[in-house]
Amino acid sequence: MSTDPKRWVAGHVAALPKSGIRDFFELVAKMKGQDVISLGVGEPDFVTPWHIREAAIYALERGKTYYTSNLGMIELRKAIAGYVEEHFSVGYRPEDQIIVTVGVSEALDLACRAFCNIGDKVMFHQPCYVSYHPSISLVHGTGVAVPTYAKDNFALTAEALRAAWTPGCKILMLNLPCNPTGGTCSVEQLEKIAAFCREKDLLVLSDEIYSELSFDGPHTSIASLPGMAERTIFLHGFSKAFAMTGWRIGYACGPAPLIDAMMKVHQYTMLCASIIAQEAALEALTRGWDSVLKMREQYHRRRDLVVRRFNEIGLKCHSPRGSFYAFPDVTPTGRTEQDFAVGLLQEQKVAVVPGTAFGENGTGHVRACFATSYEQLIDACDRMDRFVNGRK
Amino acid sequence: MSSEGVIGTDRLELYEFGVSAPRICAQGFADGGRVGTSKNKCGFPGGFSANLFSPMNPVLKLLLDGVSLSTAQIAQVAGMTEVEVQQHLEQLKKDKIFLGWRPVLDLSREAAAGVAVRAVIEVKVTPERGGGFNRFAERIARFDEVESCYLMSGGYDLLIFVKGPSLQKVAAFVSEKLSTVEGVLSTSTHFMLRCYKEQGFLLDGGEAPTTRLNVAP
Ligand SMILES: Cc1ncc(COP(=O)(O)O)c(C=O)c1O
Repeated sequence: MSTDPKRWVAGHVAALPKSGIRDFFELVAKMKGQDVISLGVGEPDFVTPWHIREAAIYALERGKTYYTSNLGMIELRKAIAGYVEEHFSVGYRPEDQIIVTVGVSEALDLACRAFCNIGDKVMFHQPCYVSYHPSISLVHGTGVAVPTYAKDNFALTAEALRAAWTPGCKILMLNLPCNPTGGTCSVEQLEKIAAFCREKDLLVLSDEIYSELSFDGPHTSIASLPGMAERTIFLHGFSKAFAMTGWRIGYACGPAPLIDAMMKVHQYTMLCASIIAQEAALEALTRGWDSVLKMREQYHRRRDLVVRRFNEIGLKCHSPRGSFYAFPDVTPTGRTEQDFAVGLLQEQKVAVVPGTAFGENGTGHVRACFATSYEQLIDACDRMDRFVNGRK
Repeated sequence: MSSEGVIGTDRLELYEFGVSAPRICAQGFADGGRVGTSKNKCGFPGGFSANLFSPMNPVLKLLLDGVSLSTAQIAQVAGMTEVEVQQHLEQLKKDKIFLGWRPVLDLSREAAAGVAVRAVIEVKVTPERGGGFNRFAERIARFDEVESCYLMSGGYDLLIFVKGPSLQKVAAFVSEKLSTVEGVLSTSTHFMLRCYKEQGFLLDGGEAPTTRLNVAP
């Protein structure tokens, strides 16, 4: 009989590929103490605004240490309803159309578990956030990647969607603005995608976690388009806009029967999100908007800086309309994304993530996060210039 | 502090250490609300040339963000040449909006700064016919010991921040100079015991070193 502990690991988990991010993380970790500038991060450099932290401390002082309702504190759900209505023009009832989750991560998992039968096909645009495909595989669904292209600034098009569609597709995962490309869709493109979803009766899981960080005009949620709220689960959270990654708090909004299905999974697996994080989230929604605007302004200027520098250096880089990621094309250097990232790290000590970590359609690109101080960004760009052009 | 491309000359000549913060004339902001209640008392001009502020001068914006960038760095971030940045700064100085540089120091740890004692003094005065509070305030403000001087609404008229090398020196300033100025009705001096936050900088602790992961999804 085998004595390998691995014999107990479930087959579909054993079959999950290792994250490309993980490999790179280990490579960077080996260079500890070597003045590495990391553009490989995936979260804000800002610490959570003080008034939000202080509200959490105050909640603890008042003894807020209990479980909350499975759906989350009603005060928070009311605040979420108000916020989503104001910023995304979609109305949800706090009583039964909103669920507070442990980050968008849990909300995505709940949605996959609640809506995906074994073998159901789930479409997602790629390059994409590293968790999407594994979340589908974990519920024995079948992922269907829809490519997005540099020529479209990585906006998803209805044409690509139609080309990738096969009978049996049930769900579409959307992430606009997109990690890792910063791609978004114009309202016209979004309308075509919405029409396609209605035509094929697709349920949309719309992860809009970067929506506040839109730099070139307002963000439009697909849920706000005609006939879409009833087939969309709107996923959002506090990690990016409010600089609250470590709090692990997010939410999902949608039709009551669908939220109820997600709630069933949530109540048996998570019970509720942390009450302290919920209290902090309530403060964020009530008084945090000024902080969001201040941080967005910084990201905006940083974006303009790195995009300009990347193009000057000779890396073709579109200006991401949202998120805090730039996704330059490194092929003009004659290197693959993997070679480029490893070479840049070893020779100039700048970490970026190879685009293929986000799926094969990221080939030829790297992801550079600009949620870092001006000084570091300028230094990193100077080093990249030296790496690419051997100057100075 | 980086020594290359430091803006202006006064910054390094005067100070070799610490973080400098630009001094910007508060009434230069279009934010009327902040001084609005006492506008008449202060006699600030009603309208300022709005063009400098809407949208806000990018160089000024970067200075105010409190990041200590060199001119070269400001130029990169603002997408300008260094010469253009210098021109912006010159203009701000000419307009008397940007008044000069000062380092922000933890004075309790820097004996060389020669500031052992700081005090806040509330002063009640009899306004003069004709000059109101202005002549009086301008006279007080000229003393070297006075760091800042404000006309206030409420229970007293002027609020003065003074500094000095010793308690005796500050006390002497109050008793010999300030209180003897004609028109002073009373002074109330509060010595500062300990500083927790100086112009936006937390003195003790602040944030712990970042634990942000270098590579994350
Ligand atoms: C597209 C996307 N969705 C979800 C998440 C996870 O968000 P949360 O912290 O709310 O779980 C991330 C984090 O990097 C992300 O980039």
